[in-house]
Amino acid sequence: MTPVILPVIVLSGLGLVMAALLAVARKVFYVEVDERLEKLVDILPGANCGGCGFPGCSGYAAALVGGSAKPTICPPGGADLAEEIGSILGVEVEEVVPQVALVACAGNPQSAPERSTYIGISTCEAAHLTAGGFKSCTFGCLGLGSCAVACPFDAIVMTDNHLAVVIPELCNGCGNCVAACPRKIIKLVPAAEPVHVLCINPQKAKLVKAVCSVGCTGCKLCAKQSKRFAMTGALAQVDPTVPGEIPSHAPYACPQGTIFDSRRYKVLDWITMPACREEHEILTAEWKKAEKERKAAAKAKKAQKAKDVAREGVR
Amino acid sequence: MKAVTFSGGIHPSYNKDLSSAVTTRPLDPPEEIVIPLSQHIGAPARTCVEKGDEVLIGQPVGDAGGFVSSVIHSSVSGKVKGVEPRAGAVGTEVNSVVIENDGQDRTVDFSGLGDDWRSAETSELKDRIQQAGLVGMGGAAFPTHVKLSPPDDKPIDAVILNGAECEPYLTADHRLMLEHPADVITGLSIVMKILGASQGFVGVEVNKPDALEALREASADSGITVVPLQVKYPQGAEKQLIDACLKRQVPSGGLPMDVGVVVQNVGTAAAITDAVVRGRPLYERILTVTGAGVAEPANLVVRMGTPVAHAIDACGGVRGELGKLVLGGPMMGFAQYTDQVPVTKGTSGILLLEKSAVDTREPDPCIRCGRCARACPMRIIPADIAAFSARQMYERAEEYDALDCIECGSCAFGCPSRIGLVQHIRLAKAAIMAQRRKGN
Amino acid sequence: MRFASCTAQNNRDSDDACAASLHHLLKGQLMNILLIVILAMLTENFVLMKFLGICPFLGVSRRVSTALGMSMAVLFVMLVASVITYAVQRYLLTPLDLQYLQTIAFILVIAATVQLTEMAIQKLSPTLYQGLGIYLPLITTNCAVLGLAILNIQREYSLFEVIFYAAGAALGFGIALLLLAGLREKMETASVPQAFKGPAIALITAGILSLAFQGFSGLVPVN
Repeated sequence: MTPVILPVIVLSGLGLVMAALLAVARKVFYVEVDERLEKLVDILPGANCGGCGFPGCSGYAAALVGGSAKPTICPPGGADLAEEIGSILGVEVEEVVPQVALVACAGNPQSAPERSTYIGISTCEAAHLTAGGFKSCTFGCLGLGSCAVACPFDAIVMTDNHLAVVIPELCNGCGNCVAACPRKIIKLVPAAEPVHVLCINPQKAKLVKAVCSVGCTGCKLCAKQSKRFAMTGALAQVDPTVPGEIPSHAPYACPQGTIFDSRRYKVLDWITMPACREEHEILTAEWKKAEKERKAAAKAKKAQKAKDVAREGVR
Repeated sequence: MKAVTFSGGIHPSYNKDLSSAVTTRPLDPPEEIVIPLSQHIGAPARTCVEKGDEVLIGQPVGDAGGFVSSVIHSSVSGKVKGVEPRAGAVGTEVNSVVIENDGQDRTVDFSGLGDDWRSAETSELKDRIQQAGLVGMGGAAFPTHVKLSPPDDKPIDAVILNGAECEPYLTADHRLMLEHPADVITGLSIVMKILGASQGFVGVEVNKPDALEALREASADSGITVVPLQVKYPQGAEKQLIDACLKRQVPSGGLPMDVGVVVQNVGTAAAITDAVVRGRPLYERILTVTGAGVAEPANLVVRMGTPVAHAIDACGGVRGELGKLVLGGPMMGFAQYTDQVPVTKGTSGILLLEKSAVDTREPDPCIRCGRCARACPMRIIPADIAAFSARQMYERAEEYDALDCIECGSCAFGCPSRIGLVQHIRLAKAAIMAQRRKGN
Repeated sequence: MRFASCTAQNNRDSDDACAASLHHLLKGQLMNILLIVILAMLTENFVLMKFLGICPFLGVSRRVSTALGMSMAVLFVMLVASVITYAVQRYLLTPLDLQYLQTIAFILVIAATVQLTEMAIQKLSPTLYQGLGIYLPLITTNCAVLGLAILNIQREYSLFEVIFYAAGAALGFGIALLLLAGLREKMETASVPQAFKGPAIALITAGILSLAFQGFSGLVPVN
């Protein structure tokens, strides 16, 4: 029996000694690990997009446990995730408005031509740093795709006409592209918002018209159609804080065709397909005609009424 | 005296004979002058005139917008047409005062100190320089009065005037030193008096022997040394100039005043003489219109705010097919997209390059020849920093001292793969500075 | 072997108990130790000459800082494990005639040591713990450690020699790891062909490093 028992005893003994050693070490080097941390890491999306501002999902989880981060700031996770996080941490969660990124420029090479030839590094930052960029409009999209490179979800398409377009269905609203754009053209907007002003040029009409044929001139005609359009200087923008729906004819009021309505077109089609703009122009003309007729009719009615009153008076 | 220099640097073709023998001549101002309110490093000037105002030559149209800022004067007499954004030399629109020239050249009363400056108070001298709107005229346009006000713990013992004019093509400083050597020397003496410096140097590259001779004659018995410099680019960069003249090395991230030195351009020194002795503010400057793309290269005295196109027309207009219009020299100048940009205080030249001179080929991969590192006057490794920059590894770029780069272009000049090293490094510097601002 | 005979010579001389021979003895011992260290570090470099421990060699050689941390961890594990395994072999297995349990007993010891190290690092340097990641517990199966323990026994080193051989081996591991990490940091900015990116070019680099280390063979005579 000895040849079997002895090795077993020796090995178990050795094992026990080591186990005892480790047990002691465990006490000495004890590190507190919050079990909520592991749970949080599990439910976070794991895309490590950095949209929350922390280094990766595990960084965010650590910040959540530490109490220095809000549960609502994970853009890809959205409201559902915020709720789950809330239940793990045992805190109340306020409502999250899902957001998507929007490239607020539609100035393709035809409407906003290049003012110079650019020879150099093919990134937007580099081109922007070089004498303010090669595009006539110094606020417009350079189309070199720094945002598309920054997007962890492949949600940004660089079109053939040198513009960046965010596909809203793919966008998680992490905001990496917002940080990547040297001209601050990309902004986060509520995903449910259908109408947008595709321009950020704050300059006056004369300067905008000199550089782009689809830029906002600050004419305020859109603001007459809906209270949701707010003017910041000479730039109209949709104000997300004002409640209400923008009427579908609002885009027709813009003489520059700067206002985009996703209820009628997909944003990629609007940017890439000239047919959309052609159709838009026809619809605009029709709306203007109808509007003119409506106004004329209203005027005639008013005049008629005045006449009637006058006649009554005579009688 | 043996010609001195620094380590590193390059030898481009200088092409200075195009205009170096042409005597400067004044350029009549055009009908309309556009004076940008930001012609200098620092805060833009605040406009102090309104549409419809009558202005005279030398009358301020913009007040300094802070300490690091500069006063801006009208360069013609006439009526202010408006204050509006106009094309500026850096590619973006700059708020500018547009003045309609009445052609009468009426000036405000210029009252200078004459020879009394020697007995004047330092503060008064400095005040006159500030009120005259002086900035560095070599190209960077840093407000001069700021440079002349070093903190108390940084005593200055030496002033160096930069007459190297190491940029190819440019001859404006050369002509100035040749035609007005006494003004340059007087300006240096004024700066030395203000700073209490005991040593004064004028560094001039030996390819301008006539200017060296003229300065030597003008500086006889003044205690100022005229230093002959070897012909090498960028001999006129301040840190390289200090190294050559005084064998002092400015520490990484430091300024010349850290080694007790202030460097000024010879053009600035002449302007200081104008401001202090004659009481004339800075409203015109000498510049070179040159390059193969211009019919008759020349050195002109141009009023600030004159559109570049007007100066080109005065030199016979564009010759052949224009490839590139550059303000400044070919190494560090700024390419322009329009010829309507105005001449400003920092414009040392207008360079017109032919179409054939512009290389539009794509860069090849780095072959690790090390030519950029040998050429770098700051002794950094441009290829490595550029590679980090191209991969957005800006922290590594910072470890490799990207911020020490003076953007002289020596590295890119010799690159056999035509890599835009300076642009990569500039990008890294911008990213590092943005990160620092965020951190603070 | 030259130094072995030298030691033997000194032993005989020490019988005479003269100061000169004591000096000789000390010199011989020092020489012996130096040779053992050089042997373990360069001539018999565990990674580049014996091809042991390739897993962490490629796994944590991406940044010099983590490579340094890994080297330290391996140094600690190698030292502790060598001494304990030496004791286990000498006082447990050999007397009981259980040499055939060598591998399993050694693995047990090494695993315990690695666990200890892991706990210590987690406590002392969380960032290093993060950086080493999965490769830290993998030191257990790092054949370099087991190979070292077994070589110690095979070569019949004394305890003194075991300690220095372990230190030398760990230093050699560290040198190889740091060399590769330095090269790979440089390689981050190199335009490596698409097909060679990542581990491929790292293996090629390691191969060239190994070739270079062949130059050390013959530096120290091995029995």
